Amino acid sequence: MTERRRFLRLSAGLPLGLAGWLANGCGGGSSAPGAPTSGGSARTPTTPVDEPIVAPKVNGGLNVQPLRCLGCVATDETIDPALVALQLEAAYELGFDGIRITAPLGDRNTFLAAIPYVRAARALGIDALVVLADFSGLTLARALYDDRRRAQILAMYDGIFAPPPTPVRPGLGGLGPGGVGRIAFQILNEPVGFVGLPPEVYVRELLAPCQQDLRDIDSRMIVVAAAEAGNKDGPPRMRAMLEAGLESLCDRIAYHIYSRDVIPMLSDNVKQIVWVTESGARGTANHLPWVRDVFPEIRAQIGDVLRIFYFDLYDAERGAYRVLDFERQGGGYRTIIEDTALYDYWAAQVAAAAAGRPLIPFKVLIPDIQAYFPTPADIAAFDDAPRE
Amino acid sequence: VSLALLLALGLAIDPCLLDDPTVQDAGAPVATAPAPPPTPLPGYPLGPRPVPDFLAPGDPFTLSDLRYSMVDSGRAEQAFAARVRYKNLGYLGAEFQGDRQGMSLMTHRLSADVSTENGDWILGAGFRTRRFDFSAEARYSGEPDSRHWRLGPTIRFRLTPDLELHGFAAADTSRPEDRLLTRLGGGALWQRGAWLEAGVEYARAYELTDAGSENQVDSGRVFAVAQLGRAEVAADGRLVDTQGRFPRTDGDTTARLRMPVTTRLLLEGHATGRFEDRAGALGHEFGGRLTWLGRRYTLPRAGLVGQGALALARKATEAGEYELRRFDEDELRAQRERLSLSPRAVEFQDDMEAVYRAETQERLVPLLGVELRQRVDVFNGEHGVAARALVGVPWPLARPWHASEASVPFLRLEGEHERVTTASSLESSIDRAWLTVSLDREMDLVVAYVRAEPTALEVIRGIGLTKTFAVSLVYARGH
Repeated sequence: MTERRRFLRLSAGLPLGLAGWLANGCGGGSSAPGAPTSGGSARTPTTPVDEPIVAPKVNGGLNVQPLRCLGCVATDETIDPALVALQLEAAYELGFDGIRITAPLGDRNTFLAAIPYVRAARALGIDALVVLADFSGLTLARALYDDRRRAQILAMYDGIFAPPPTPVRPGLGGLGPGGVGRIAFQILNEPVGFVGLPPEVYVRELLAPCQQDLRDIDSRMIVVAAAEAGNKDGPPRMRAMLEAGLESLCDRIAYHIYSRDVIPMLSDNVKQIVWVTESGARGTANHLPWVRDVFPEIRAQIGDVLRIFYFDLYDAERGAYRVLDFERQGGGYRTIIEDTALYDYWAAQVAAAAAGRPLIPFKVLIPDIQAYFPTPADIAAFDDAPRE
Repeated sequence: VSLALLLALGLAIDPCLLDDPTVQDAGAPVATAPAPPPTPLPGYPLGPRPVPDFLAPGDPFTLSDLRYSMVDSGRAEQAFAARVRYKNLGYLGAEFQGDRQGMSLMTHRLSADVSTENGDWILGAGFRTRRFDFSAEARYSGEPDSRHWRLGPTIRFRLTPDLELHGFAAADTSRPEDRLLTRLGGGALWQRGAWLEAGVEYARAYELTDAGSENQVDSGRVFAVAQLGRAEVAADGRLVDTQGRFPRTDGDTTARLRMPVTTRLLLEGHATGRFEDRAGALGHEFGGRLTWLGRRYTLPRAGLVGQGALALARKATEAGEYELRRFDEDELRAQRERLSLSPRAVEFQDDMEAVYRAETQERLVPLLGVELRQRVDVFNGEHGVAARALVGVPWPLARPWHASEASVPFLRLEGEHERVTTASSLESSIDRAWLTVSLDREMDLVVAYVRAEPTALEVIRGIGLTKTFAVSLVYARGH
């Protein structure tokens, strides 16, 4: 078991190691300042102490809402650059190595809003896990189930999200081409609860053909299976998915964990890398203990876990899961740190990894977030996709 | 807890349990008080129906069963089945449903059936002796990539007239994980008088998952049906221990109650639950039904049917037949057919007639009924609530709520509305309506209509609103 896990971890890290080795030539060479290791841990910077470095990616993954405007109606097409920048700035400066964001087929404006988050994050060397799911409705699930439309829909997602952006600077340490972040697609979210797909049906009738089509479209795409609910209802469903052949139909198995009791119920006996794509605790006061105490518990008890995505950076409910809030100020917005304890904990982790070196500010790396906004070609690709 | 409540309820309503004449010791002789003159059989819309001559041989073929059904939900599918008695040798049957065709044969000791559908075959055979009942089923899968047989022999053994032991096995010629024998188990069934039936069963199975790993599944089951005072109580529990890559223990329990609250008011209830050791409850269903009857009704184990069925089974066993006690109308009819083929059939004739008369005398004539059901399936995230209503018009014709002791069921209109929630909040309505026309004891005509809004899974599969119309005609001689 230990050997297998070691192999899985090495395999997961291979792109970085290989890419780094190739980039540096056979004679080796130093990595870029602040480049993380494959597991997201920081290297000790070797640059002079006063030279700014890219924020070390030491805090794992983060769930980010595709927030585009505050208080606007669903039909409002506004994507406010300031809001996108504020969320990404937090994700970068708090040292996250991956963001997870939903791109719903059934909500055009939110879908388009997810584009700058994904592209800018990847340009910063942060992996982007795009959840192919609707927040409500069955539009995407129907399209992915339909043999006539599935390949076109997946090609549209791939065409918009998969092309790697230009890195904001060399040596970002991302595992994608040129050090940018990688792209991964998660096929639906909690299928039983959100779209009513029983576990075996999800695996056999939806994930299997999606994985095959994605392999045909883009063989390098990381396919992440849907996780099930993070309470005690989830583990029996996950087990049914695993017994239906989940492991051979994805590159990452996903778990959600919102209860400590769930950890021992989730199998650590899987033949695949595990990403915990959602985990958090309700109530602001519970956030820090959850991250500080339970995240290590998850890693210790489920040996195949390589990444945990905290849920979440921002959402509309005060005092529940979010860490940040945003409010209007003058013509723009300001960030309100709702959970200072967790925020400071993450910031301290980054500072410790930076070993006193200053961080290159987000605004220096991405002076204009609008450079990553949807293009006319993106909009045309979405509008032309056979959604119904 | 459900079972305890049901038991308490049953006992509370009739504390004179031990005085109940149906609670008899299995070894005690059946009461043979002087029989009262037989009650005249009731009339039906097709006329009076005398007690059938159960021993009448085919001439040379006599129709015993005829079933036809047509279901149309955009594409009509028809099904047809017929069975005839050939002289005194046995019953021959044939059936067609869609792509499925089948034939069956039943003689005194031997039974056989064969059916095929799209290249798959199912073969069955059985042989009864005085103390043993052998049966076997073979299923052939004709899929081009995995042609194989699954074989399932069962042997039953009557250790005493009250106690049956059985063993079973299953084999798969595709040899999953290089294993031919995939299931093995055994159990026991104990019948005490007419009032109690209880059983246990244990099985070990080796199951291959789609992921290619093998699970060793040990399962145990305990079940019982008891007539306790006025109430018939049934309980069933199953515990399954699965060892493999993902070990777990799960199970399910069911409790059922049928009880005449008054001579003409029948209460029925059931509760089922599924659970897993660490995840806890995985689902449940609760339901209750109240039916106002047109005449006095007696539960089958509590009255003349129970006594008659018990006497018939004992006599058959003493005569060398392998027959358990049966209390269900369809099972009793099948038993009569088997016994009528026995060389000693004449010895059973009076008892068969007595049971038939008892079934007629203790018949159910529903006039009004309401039912509520609620279910939750945690595993699939589905929950639903259903309400059902029934209106019966008896024969001789009377208003729905009027009947007499001479009444028989004639028209029965049932309607049901169910709301199913899937995907957390998608609500679907399913409306069903049935009209059953009972032309006599042996012939029913059923017309049904179902309008079903799709669940989330059906929407994803591209299934929209469905409207289904169905009609069926059933004739069963000697029912």
